[in-house]
Amino acid sequence: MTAGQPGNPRFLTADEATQALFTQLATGLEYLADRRIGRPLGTFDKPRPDLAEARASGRSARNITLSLQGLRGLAQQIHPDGQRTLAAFDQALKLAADFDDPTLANLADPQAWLKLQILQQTVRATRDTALAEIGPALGVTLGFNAQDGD
Amino acid sequence: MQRRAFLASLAAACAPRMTWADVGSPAFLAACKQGEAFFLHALSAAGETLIEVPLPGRGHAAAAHPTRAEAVAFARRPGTFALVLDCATGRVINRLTPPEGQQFNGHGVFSADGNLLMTSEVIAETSAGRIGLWDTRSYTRLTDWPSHGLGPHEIRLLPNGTLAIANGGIQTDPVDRSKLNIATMHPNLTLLSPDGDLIDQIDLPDLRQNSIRHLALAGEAIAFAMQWEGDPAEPVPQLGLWTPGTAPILCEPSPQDAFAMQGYAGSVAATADRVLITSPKGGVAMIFTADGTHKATHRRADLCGAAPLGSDFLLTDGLGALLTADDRSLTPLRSGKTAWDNHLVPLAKTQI
Repeated sequence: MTAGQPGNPRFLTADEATQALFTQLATGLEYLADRRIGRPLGTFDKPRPDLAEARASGRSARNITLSLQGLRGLAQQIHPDGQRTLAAFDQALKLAADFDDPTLANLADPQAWLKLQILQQTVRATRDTALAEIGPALGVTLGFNAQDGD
Repeated sequence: MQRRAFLASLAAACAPRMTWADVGSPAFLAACKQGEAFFLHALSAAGETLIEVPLPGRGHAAAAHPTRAEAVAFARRPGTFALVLDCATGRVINRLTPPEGQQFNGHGVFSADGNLLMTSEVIAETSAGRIGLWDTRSYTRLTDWPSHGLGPHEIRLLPNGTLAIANGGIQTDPVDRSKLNIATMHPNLTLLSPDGDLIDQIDLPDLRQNSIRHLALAGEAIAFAMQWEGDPAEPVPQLGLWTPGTAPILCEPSPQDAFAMQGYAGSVAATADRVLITSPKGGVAMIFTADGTHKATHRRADLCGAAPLGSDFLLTDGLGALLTADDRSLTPLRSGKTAWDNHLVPLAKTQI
């Protein structure tokens, strides 16, 4: 751990390393909602279960759960007092545990589609909660330019 | 014209103007945020702040007059104003407003003799690109030309007076900036003669969702940096090199770095034999040789601004650091609480 020491241009201070972990948490949740869930979800009229991650090995739903567990662990590590964030994660994990379709193959069924969409919204809400709770508590924000997009 | 405005412009035209040499010969301009306030800084080649001028809001890029100590600061797009700043006094000496229904799109350049300012603009309703022309004696609007594409972003002047335009190809909502034509977008790179006539234009038929947005001059070639709007699971190059008269070359990174940029290049800069692109989203700067071979990948969060510094590069980031980059490493020059905005603009070489 050389953050803040000479010869480490990637992290010039310890705060920058904290910021990188915080960014990882936000990006991880975004990836989960937009890609791991969002790609197979497609639209109500055109779900794309063929785009589910790790479909061939039957791990699509399991990867979603594992990703949520891993990101919850990261959130707890960088800010153990983040009660609202952890509660949001627990809510998302509860919804993920209700899934009994390992490869998301049944997304053409409106019930299944709505279930996954609610999970996606919950993951996005978890990200918003983490940004609102953990960012100010640690005194870090997401990237000034990375968020700007131009 | 009102008499008062006429007298003001007359006074502005007659008053002696300070040159960049009078204000310490800065090498770069960069917009930034300090605390809750926004500024434009003029920096020395060593990265020290020589001048700081307050801005009313967050800046994006700037254009520097080739001789007079004047800079035009552009707001983030779509913007309805750009400010002409006297860098000797810090005063706003002019406020440029595009014609009704048009918006500035983030970038502009001065002609080599400093008599003209060109600005990238769009017609708000359709995103059709325009290049605005301004007389810099008193910053009056002369005319505008079509940019021959949608959503032009960065523009650069070649040494022979040809204007290169990155037409990003994206139609955006005039108010909330949401993208309206991702499925059918069609960016291009356009060359205009000094009279505004279309000279040449290229596109990338197989990569139509790769928005061409930023430009740098790399010897005879134009380096163009792109932002991918297609499927994020597809690895696509973020950098291309085009020598007019030949086919463009696309610069692929090494396979292990294919997704390092996250499909997004924020700035591009070139030295005599290297081209560098940055990705604030990926936290990456990548260096390529002048023939497009991937040479190095350096990692640091929120890197964005980039400009040539001798045979190396100077980079800025949103965490407050200025760093030099060469093939081997990043080296911090200074760091602090100043969050540097997207672009680092080099001043004309004659002034350094």
